Amino acid sequence: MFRSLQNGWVLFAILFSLIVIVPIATVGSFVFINEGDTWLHLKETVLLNYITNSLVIALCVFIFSVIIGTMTAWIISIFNFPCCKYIDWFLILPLAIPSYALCYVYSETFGFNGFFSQMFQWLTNSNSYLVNFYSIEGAIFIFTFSLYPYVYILARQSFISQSASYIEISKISGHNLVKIFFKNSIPYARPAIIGGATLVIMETLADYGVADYLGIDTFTKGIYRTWFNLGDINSAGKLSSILLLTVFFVIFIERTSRRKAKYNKNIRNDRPLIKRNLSGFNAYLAITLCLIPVFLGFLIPLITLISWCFKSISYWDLYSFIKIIFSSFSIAFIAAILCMACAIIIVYGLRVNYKFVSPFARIASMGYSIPGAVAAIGILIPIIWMDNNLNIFFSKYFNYSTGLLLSGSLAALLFAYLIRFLALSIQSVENAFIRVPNSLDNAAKVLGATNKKILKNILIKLNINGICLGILVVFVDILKELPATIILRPYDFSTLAIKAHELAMDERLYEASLPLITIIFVCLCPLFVINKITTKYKREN
Amino acid sequence: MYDNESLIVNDVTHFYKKTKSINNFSLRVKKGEVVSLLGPSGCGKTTLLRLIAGFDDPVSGEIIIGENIVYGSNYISTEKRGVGMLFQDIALFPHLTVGKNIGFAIENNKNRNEVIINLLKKVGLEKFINRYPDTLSGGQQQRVALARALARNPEVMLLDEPFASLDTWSKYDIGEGLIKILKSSNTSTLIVTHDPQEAMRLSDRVLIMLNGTIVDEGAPDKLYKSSKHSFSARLLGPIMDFKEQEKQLIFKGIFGKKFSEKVIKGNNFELLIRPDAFSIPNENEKGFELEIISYKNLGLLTELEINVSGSPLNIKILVYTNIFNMLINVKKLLFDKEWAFVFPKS
Repeated sequence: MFRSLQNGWVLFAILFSLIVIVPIATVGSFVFINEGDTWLHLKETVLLNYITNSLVIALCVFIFSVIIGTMTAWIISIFNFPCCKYIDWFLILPLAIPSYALCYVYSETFGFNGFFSQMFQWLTNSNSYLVNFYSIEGAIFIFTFSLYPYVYILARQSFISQSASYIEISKISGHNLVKIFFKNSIPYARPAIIGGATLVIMETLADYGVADYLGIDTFTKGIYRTWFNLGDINSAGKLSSILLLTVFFVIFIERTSRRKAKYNKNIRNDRPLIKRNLSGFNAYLAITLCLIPVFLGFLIPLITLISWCFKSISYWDLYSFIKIIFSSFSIAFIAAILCMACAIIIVYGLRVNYKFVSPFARIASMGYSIPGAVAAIGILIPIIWMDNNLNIFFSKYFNYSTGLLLSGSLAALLFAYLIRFLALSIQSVENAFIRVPNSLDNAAKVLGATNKKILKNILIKLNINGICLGILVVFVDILKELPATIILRPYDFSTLAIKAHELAMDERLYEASLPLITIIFVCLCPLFVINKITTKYKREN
Repeated sequence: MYDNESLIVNDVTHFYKKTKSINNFSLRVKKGEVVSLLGPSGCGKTTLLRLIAGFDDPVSGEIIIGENIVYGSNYISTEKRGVGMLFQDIALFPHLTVGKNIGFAIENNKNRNEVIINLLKKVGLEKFINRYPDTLSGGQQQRVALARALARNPEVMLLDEPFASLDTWSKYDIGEGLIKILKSSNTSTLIVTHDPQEAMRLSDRVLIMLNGTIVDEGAPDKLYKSSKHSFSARLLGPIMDFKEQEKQLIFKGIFGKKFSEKVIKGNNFELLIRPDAFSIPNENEKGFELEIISYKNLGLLTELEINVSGSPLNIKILVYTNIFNMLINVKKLLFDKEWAFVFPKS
């Protein structure tokens, strides 16, 4: 044990993994802090709303995204119909559009003067709304069509990996396709579906942009409001701790359900599923069913935003737009590189000593489940404490006031991004490094190579594509990030997401479209690269 | 003190989870000696190699490589232990050319290029210096791996089932070629294998491992003739295992009275006989008469069901096919008790 800790890589891997503990411990400690006046006021007035609204939205989005994601994944996995290869790729495209962008588009186009409402009014000769998007139902619709791809991707993977023998045995037993779907495919894919749905719930609970714009009282919005409007850090911390416990409870349920559903394949020599050809009406039906979520989650918002962009292009002067792009891209890039550097150290530590580093690396992976607002509060509190103490120390001994050194600095924001997105980087690096057999490390070691040389000259060089992709994935996620950035950003610092949200909140949706489109097109890059890699992999196998 | 020995392993014990995978293991390998560790999967062969290389640490014991204690009262990490290693999956760096793979080990050597070319000449692959590993055959890749491992003049070369990924036809040729090179450089070699033929063909000494400990050891021909453990007797070549009833017949002297005196009376032993025990008696030899009930040709060997004259029971024996061809006419066999092993029942 002592020799393992002497290894710098193992030690640093453990230390970097423990970074995530900071906000969890900070926020967790608020569970035990005494209730102040603000908290009692919140408890009497809005707390119940926060809880019920957040839970109702999360539960409904869970149900609808499971239905849409699973159904489309099954159609794509077992049927062959015209354009199914392209539709398979289209179905994940909504991931490129942030939920808040979808929210701006639908609340406007379905608003009283919006395109769809006017058409409805013209058709029905009435003066009423088609749908009121400023409601919980509106939020559910938006989250469902924005987040169902998480379920789709994992369910599709699971359906594809099912052995053809299972389907054939069911057919021989006299089951039709519908019965096979419910009795066979769904139970087999349940862990994957639940896994995807858990991601959907976590994203929904972590959202700030949609709730803020639609005026729905959710936990994240409550945290933000308590901190900025009421100025009560304790109550914000207490709200954060409840949200964090809820998220951990969801993860616990997901893990428990997976443990209960360990399906070991007992069929040897798996044969891949042979897709059934569809033609005529059935083919059109499959295409329509799969394209509905693509239209609602991607095409309609994209086309609307592009049309708004053309109308509002004159608002933007090139200099101010480039300035925002530069600040947005540079912070996202620095944070992505930082996440990747830490992830490489952690994953290499895992490789050097799995037994020791593994529990800590799992802690680091929990960071992705911490909602942005909670991570921000969890960082803000210790940083303010450090700033205050530094100020007291320097005032006392050097008669110099340091002011707020860390609070409101880019360092605090970078730290929040690191906590929130480290898990994504770890996953990318693990997926890449796992393909390199351990015997290469061992061969290099007996040839006299140090750990640094093994990492630099073998693992990084062999996995440079995977590492770049990992950086890109984190980069686009940070580009979209809103709640932590709003809370922690330095004064006068803006990103594309913040600018779009500010403009949208000022009801200047057309002007908000340019930063949103920039985000969407950048977000399409990793999806495109991943699709290329998957297609290549499929072709090779 | 260790003038003539490159590797000493003293009383090494290692645990895998809570099970003892290596149990008070000791071993000495002389300079230039080729030793094979032979045993079934999970007996601790590869673990021992990993302990010597320094990939894992034992819980107790001492390991000495060359002049240095690398584990025990002193600790030296893998990269400074002076061992070379060949792996089952060959483990050439796929992104480096053959020359750069070899050069990886000697980056600070001023005569790097010269060393690389000499090593490649040694393994007969000097033309392949700029090729990438995936363009070479399995045998060529293993030779490059050997050249790479030799680049640092290791005190001990560890071979972890290095020919397992090669086809049956070429693996013995490649193996012999590799051992020849290692012998020429006087490098002590420890081979881990589960292929008895490979172990016997390539090594000066074979150690038979079972449950983390050595149960038998010796030069290949000595081990074949006089195994000290029923496991190694079974492992190293064709052998007949006699059941209780057949053993009783043997006691009654059908293979000669002297032999029945050799075996321990009672049932608490195993009786194993190699096919080499049966030959055709010449004119001066007595032998025993038999009737062939049935036979199965197994290639080099033939399995016979025989009835020895005067006995009430048929028994099955293995004889070499060339002996069987003669036996058809002679109907008489000579039994050599030196090829019969009696072990206490485990």
